[in-house]
Amino acid sequence: MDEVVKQMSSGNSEAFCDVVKLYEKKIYSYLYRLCGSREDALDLAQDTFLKAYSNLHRFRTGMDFKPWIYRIAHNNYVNHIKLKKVLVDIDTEDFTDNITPLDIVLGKDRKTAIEGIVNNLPYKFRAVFLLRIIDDLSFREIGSILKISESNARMRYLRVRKKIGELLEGGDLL
Amino acid sequence: MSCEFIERYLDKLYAGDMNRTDRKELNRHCDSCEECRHRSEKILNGSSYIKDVILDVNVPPSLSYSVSNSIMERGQKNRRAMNIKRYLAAAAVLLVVISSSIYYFTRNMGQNGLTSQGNNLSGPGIAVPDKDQMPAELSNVLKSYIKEKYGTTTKNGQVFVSLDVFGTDEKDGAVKVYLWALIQEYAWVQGLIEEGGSSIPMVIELEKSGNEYTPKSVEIPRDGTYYPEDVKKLFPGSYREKVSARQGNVFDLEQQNKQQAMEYFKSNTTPQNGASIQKTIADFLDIYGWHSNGAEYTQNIKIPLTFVDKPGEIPAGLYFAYNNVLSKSIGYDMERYKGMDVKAHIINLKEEFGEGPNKNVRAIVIEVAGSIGGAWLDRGRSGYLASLDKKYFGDITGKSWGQWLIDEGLVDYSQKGFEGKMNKLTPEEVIQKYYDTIAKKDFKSAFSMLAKSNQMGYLYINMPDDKLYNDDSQSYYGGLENITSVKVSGIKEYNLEITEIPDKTFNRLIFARKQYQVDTDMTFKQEIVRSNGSNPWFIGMVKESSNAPWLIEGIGTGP
Repeated sequence: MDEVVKQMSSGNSEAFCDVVKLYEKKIYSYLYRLCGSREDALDLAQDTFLKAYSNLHRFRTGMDFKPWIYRIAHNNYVNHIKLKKVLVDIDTEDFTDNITPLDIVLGKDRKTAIEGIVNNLPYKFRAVFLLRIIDDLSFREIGSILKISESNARMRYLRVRKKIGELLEGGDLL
Repeated sequence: MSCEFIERYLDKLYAGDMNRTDRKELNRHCDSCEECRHRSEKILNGSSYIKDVILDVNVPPSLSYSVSNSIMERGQKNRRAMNIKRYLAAAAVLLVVISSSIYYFTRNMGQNGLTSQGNNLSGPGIAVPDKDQMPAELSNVLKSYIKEKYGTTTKNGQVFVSLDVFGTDEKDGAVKVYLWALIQEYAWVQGLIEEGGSSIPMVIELEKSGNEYTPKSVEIPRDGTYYPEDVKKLFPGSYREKVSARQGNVFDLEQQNKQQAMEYFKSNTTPQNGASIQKTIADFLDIYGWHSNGAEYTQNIKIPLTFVDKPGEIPAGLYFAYNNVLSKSIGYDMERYKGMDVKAHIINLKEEFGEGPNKNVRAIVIEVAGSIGGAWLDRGRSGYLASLDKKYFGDITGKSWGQWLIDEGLVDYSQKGFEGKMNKLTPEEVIQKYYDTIAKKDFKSAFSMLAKSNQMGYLYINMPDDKLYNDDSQSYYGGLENITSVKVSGIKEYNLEITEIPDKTFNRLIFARKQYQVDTDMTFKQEIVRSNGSNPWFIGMVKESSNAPWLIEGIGTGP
């Protein structure tokens, strides 16, 4: 990966295309889970990679590519909701009431239930949770992307992760 | 749970940030404690399972393909044109010196109250207002200059420029303006069409002479591999961030250009034969055999940016999607006017048409920049109707309403949002959920559980004569707000022989339909029609297509 990033940052287009292949599923999933629309997620993911490519001069060898690309993706999403004037609970600081047990009860399987919980999370909880669960970003990196403190990022993740465990306690895995 | 050893590690286990020492200690304990081992494995496996679920998304193959293509192309060509068609090339730069006697702006911005609201730039520089408060003089000077420099057109086109001014810098009497420009050519060919454009960061130098400033030169980054280095050279650090943020992100500027183009063509497009728009519309309707009965209204309205349905919202997008089918069938596609302010002419007609007791007809004609941009018929408060040449929705699309919505991508029953969940529910569960959401005062969710054709019908309920549709949300949720509490005490299927009434307007081919008797206990703010206590309802449920969820077709007090 380091070599690919090195080649890529020196302007090697093919190396960058390899990086796109490495990250496309994670970045697309992140954006899709944030915005809930396949069409918007596709546009945002395309734009994320193109912006990353256009800004490669800002990326220096030794920097960690992972948080950098997620930061671009996330900023893209934020611009998207501002431009489309999508109503997002951007300032919501809690989520307890947003998870409706009915959604869980009615979920026919555990997968649906998990998706239901994640979809119903307020934006800031959802973003923290996705960044950690999808690509194991450190809480410091997540905090930096979302402009919240490291401890706040950890607290948010823990609350969601535990909530999923609790709500689905009866299952075999969680 | 008897062993509490694991409790001290729970947060770290869930957070996935145990260090080596913690892990060693926990492992040592788990070697002899089955209970803690099982619990820690459950948490770790759970996180892994959740990750699998979250990543269980089909990535469109077009993603890496389009990105790779674009990157390879950009490696060789111009980086500047982002999402805009690259019709206007930078090669068309004309070394035209703009007449200093024509374009100028003065520094008396303070008199307009603008200086005090300007950005405070570090270092020397004039206070420049932010882009939303930019004086027209300055904006026009810059736009005209850019247009002269970079604007080339095809035979029918006009160039329009929108700017995002990042800031300015003044040194030795010269002012540099740092900005992003979106330059687009529009033409009017039976409506507004975009011919192409460029999206470019640039630095314009203005020469100061007395109180006047005149554009002197412009610098833009070179293409390809020079681009990053040139941006770095041309733009101070704080503006480089803004340049980056603008790449591929000019939607707002596009809208501004489109609006400018509309205004331009509005004032430069003469209605046919020099007649007034009313005469043009009358002649147009006459072609199809329709004539006004004298009751005419106009309404300024914005065509929605997207026609895609937004669950819980007033279905204005679907309204335009439906009527655009009718309009397109006579050659007027309104897709191109999405997001634009237009004028709707509502004309009650002498002639009658349609089925059922009410045969009154209205012609709706959309006026765009002095020309006809769309047209269809409706039945006033009785609802939807047909195209001007009397074709129904089903005649034109050859599809049922429900299937057409899916095929056109206007609803997404497969997405994991609200309707994705609905798709997994039985009719009884939908009914239960409907009343649960009302009990929680979540009226938008309740509204989204109505069948799409049912939702569409609400647009015409209590509609004023001078409106295209009723956009007062009280008409949608007002009745529900009177409910203070509701609890479902019983849901049972009610076998009813349903006689399908052919519905030409929506061409509904119901995939499945069921009727339920629902017993509820309700209380109201005001007992208007219903009383507090037991309230039975009869609820019709439909699947409007094989892929659609069960949704509420109608709620009544009798079968």
